[in-house]
Amino acid sequence: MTIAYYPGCALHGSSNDYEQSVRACLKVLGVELKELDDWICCGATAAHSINAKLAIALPARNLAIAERSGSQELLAPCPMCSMELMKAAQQIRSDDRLQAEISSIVELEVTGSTRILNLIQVFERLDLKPSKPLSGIIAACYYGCLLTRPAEIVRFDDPEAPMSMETILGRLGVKTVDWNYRTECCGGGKTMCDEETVLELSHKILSNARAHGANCLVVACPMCHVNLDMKQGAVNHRFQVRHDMPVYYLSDLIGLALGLTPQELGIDRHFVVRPEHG
Amino acid sequence: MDALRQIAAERNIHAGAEARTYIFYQAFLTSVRRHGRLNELELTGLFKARSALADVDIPFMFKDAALAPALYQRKKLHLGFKSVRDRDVVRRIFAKCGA
Repeated sequence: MTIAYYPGCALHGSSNDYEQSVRACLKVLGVELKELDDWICCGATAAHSINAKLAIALPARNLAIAERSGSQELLAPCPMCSMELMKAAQQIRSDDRLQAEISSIVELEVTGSTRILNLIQVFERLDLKPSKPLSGIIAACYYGCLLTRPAEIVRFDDPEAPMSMETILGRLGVKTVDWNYRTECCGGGKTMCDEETVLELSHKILSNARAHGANCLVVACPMCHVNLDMKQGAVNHRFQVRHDMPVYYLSDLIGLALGLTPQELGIDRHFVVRPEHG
Repeated sequence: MDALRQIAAERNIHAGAEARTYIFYQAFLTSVRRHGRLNELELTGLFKARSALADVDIPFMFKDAALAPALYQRKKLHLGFKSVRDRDVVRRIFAKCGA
């Protein structure tokens, strides 16, 4: 199976461990990723906070590139990117005048017909046959804000009580916990400009996962991973605690269960590493 | 909410507590306009420099620099960043959007 692929800036930047994990895992499962030619940034929170037209045009350029390549579906593993792509597609599809205007701005015909997929949706379609039990892992699945919301745009899982990651991990025999902070915000892209907020939110998430018996978190978002993994040392320092809670991408645990090594998945490049989990 | 933020940005009005967030978003879009994609090192430099112009805060300026060696060790710092091929179209998109 071949899927068109939009990595987005984070996966080609400091979250390149996520891309390594996604690529390694999907390769084993027989999925070939076809990266969009000359894709551009989706604009993320910066664009939609400052300029409404730009917030549609930047993702629309990528939608147009996908349409021109004949792709019916496009995988965007970053939930910020996938949400921005879906939002732009929905607006373009529902307004002919806007469609013409945006096509002119991005200098390519765009109709918004491409279906955007998050990473979980791709795994849901695949036959996952574990070759290695992950018996030591008790996971708290963390969805954050954008995988399930805004519900009217992403139309994925239950916006307040999602279970799709638990269902996939259950197929692999991984234990998961029921906990309170699955859809709370971690501070998202405010890591650098409002660290105090990020540390406070991340501390609450890590503490609640631990209190419910988890020994790791599972995410499918590069920003959540940065705030919960890379910033965990700063959280420990700020609140005088020692969380020592590894944060895995969903593809990390699937990859481990399929027999891939932590090195092949990029887990060794995380900030909090528990070798006994691999 | 976004509409209010966009109107505030157009009128150059920012709540004091959100000033750094606005500077961050502006720096983010500056980098994307130049390269078509986000250059994280450039974003960090632009954000810190522009924040210093608004409010000199020495510990804040150097706080994230402490993470650089750990990021480099984990191959997460991209010194060989590559822009998109068609940077001109990106600049035209920004211009047509008035950004």
